[in-house]
Amino acid sequence: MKTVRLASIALLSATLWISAAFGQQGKLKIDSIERLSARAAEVVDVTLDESLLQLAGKFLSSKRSPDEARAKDLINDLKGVYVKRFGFDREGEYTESDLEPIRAQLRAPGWSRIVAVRSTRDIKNIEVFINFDGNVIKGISVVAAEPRELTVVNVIGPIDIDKLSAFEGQFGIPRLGLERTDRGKQ
Amino acid sequence: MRNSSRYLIRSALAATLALCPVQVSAKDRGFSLLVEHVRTNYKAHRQSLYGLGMLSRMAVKVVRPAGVKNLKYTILRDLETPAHLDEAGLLASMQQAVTPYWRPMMQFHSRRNGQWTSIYVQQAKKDIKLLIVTRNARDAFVAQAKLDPDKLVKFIDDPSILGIPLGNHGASNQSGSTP
Repeated sequence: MKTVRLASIALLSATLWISAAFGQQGKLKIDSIERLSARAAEVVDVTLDESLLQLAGKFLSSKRSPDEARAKDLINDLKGVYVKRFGFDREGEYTESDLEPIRAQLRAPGWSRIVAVRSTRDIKNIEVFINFDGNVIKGISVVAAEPRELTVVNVIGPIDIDKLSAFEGQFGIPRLGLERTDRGKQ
Repeated sequence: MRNSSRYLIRSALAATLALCPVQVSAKDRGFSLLVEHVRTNYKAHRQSLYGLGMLSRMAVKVVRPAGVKNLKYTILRDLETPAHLDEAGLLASMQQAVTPYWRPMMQFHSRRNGQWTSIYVQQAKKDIKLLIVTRNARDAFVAQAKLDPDKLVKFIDDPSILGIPLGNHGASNQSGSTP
C-alpha cells in the first residue's frame, strides 16, 4: 500500500514538474534568438514570471489613480511577461532565418495571427499572434521586425491587444503603438 | 516492502541534506560572484569607502528606510575593456553563474555606450532580495538589498524616515484634494 502511495506521489510530482517546465500555454521560447546578442548594439531582456508580476502588482495602488487600478487588475491575471529587444547599428544584421525559431513556434496549433492590427508608430513589419484555448486567450505575442530593431514580446495570460497597449512603456514592453484597425466593425 | 520505503525516504533525505548547504551558501554568493566577475574580467579595483560602507550598512539595519532591511554595495573603478573582449559572452557566463540561485529580471546591454545593467531577484519568505550590477565605460556598481515590499509600498505612498516626512508630500496631498 505504501509503495503504491509513494509511486502515486512520485508520479504526481513528475507530472507537476513536467507541466511547469514545458506546459505553460502561450509561452514562447524567446531564448532561441539569443544568438543575435553577439551582433546587436543594444539588447534588452526582460523576464517577469508570475511571482515577479505579483510582486510588481504590490507596488500599484488601486486607490492612487484609475490607471494604476486598471494596471493592477491586469497584472493579477497575468502569468508572465517576456521581452527581448535587439537594436542594430546597421541594416541587414539579422535575417528571416534568425527569426525562424520564433515563427515555427507561432505556426503551431493554438496560435493565430491577428491581421487587423497596425502600429501608430509606423512600424511596417509588425505581427501580433494570440494563443487560444477554446475561446480563452492564453497568451499574446508581438514580433516587430524593423530594419535596425527587432522586438519580441510574449505576454502569458488572458490579455487582448487593447489591454496590451495599456502596458506599452511598462515592464520593458516598448511603445509599439498597437492599434486595432477593426474597432469600427465591432 | 517496508525496507524499500525506508530506503527511499532515507535516500531522499540524504540527497536533500547533501544539496541544501551548497544551495544556501551559493545563494549568498551572488554578490561576491558579480564583484569578482567585474574585478577580474575588467581589471577593475574596488573603491575604498573608508568605513562609509560599514556605517551605511549599520544605518540601514537600524533605520530600515523604505523597507530596506539589508544593503551591501561595492563601487569598482577604472574598468579596462580590451578590444578583443567578448562582452556578450562574458555577460552570458556571468548570468550562468548567478542564475541557479537568482532569477534574472532585467538585462540591458549597450555596446554603443559600453554600458550594461543586470537585475536579479530572489524571494526570501515575505521579503525580496535584489542583486544589481551596472557598469558604464569606466566604473561599475554592484549592490544587493533585501527589502520588505509592503513597507516599500507604504514608503512610496507616504515617504518618511523615522517618522520624519520627506519632501512636500503632505502639501501635494492637500493641493491634490482641491477641486
